[in-house]
Amino acid sequence: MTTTDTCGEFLAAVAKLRDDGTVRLTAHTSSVSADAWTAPDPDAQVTPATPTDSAS
Amino acid sequence: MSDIAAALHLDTILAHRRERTTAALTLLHPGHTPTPSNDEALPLAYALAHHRLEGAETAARGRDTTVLDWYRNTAERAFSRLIHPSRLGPRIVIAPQQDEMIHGLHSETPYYVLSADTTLASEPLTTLVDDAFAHITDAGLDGLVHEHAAVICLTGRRRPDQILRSFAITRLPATVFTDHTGDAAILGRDLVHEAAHNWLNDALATLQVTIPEDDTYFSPWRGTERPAFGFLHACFAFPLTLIYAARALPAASGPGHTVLADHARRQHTHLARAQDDFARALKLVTNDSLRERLETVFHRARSLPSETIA
Repeated sequence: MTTTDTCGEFLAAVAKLRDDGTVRLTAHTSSVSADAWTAPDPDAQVTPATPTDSAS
Repeated sequence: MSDIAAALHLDTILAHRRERTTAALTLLHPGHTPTPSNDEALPLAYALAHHRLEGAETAARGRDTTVLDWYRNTAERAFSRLIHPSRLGPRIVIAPQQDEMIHGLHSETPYYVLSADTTLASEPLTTLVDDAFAHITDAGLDGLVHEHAAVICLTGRRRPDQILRSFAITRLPATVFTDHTGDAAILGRDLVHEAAHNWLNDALATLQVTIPEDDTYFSPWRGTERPAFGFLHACFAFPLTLIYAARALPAASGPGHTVLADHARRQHTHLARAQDDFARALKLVTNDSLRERLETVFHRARSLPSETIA
């Protein structure tokens, strides 16, 4: 069996199994009350989260 | 069993995920009959089968037979070494770096699939998740999170002035992705939110309910018109976070208490604004049982007296 066959046959089998034709991503963003913290948080990452495609 | 626990208990979801887990494992190992998981282990088995399927599919698309073979033959043993026993059953808690997230075919949002390179989250983060589970259990929503948040991917710690992001994706059921602030009570809220999305995705799949996309509904969470699918998801997930917040508030303290109280007040207002459109959108749900469950959750949250969430 060739490499192409192994991968191709697996992909064909997966396609038959999948019943979720549309893949959905449900995302949400929320802000936290800044005044809930009284001191800076040194461990937090500085990169802001990116609002994305979303459902809620 | 409380009214919320009863609304979230849907036997057909269990049957559906057993069937899907067996189908995925049979596809990965043709000719091998997988051992059925018990009820406690099923959520993680279901999640891991989908991670293996997703990883194997990506490998096959890239014609990488070595990685494809790993997902088929080695991943089960490798993933079993990542399992963390918790009060909500076996879990996998990970915290990949931002550059480890993948840009898949299915979403603009980077997500993560368990692989040979996956390592466990640090002990403090695992403890944070365990503490969040304690809040969730106290709030009576442990059944939801037990069944629908088996793989927990912490996507980064944020400062109070940053936006928290969380998401779930239908290709990876029972997996949740969420930022955190280091506060267990707040993390508990976000685990409930994402587990709710996974619950609804499973319910829609198992009951074969499709939500038409023709009409739009005003979402107070977004301040804009949204298609029914996203709107109904919001009308299910946010009420559950309000119920969580109301029940978790008495035991919460410090920043967690302040944030949950603020969240609860905002959700109370949003649910009031969403109520008419929710009633309209609910008519699109053709399955009586599912419609009643969504209605129960929404109205239970809506009816919480304001003094319990202040």
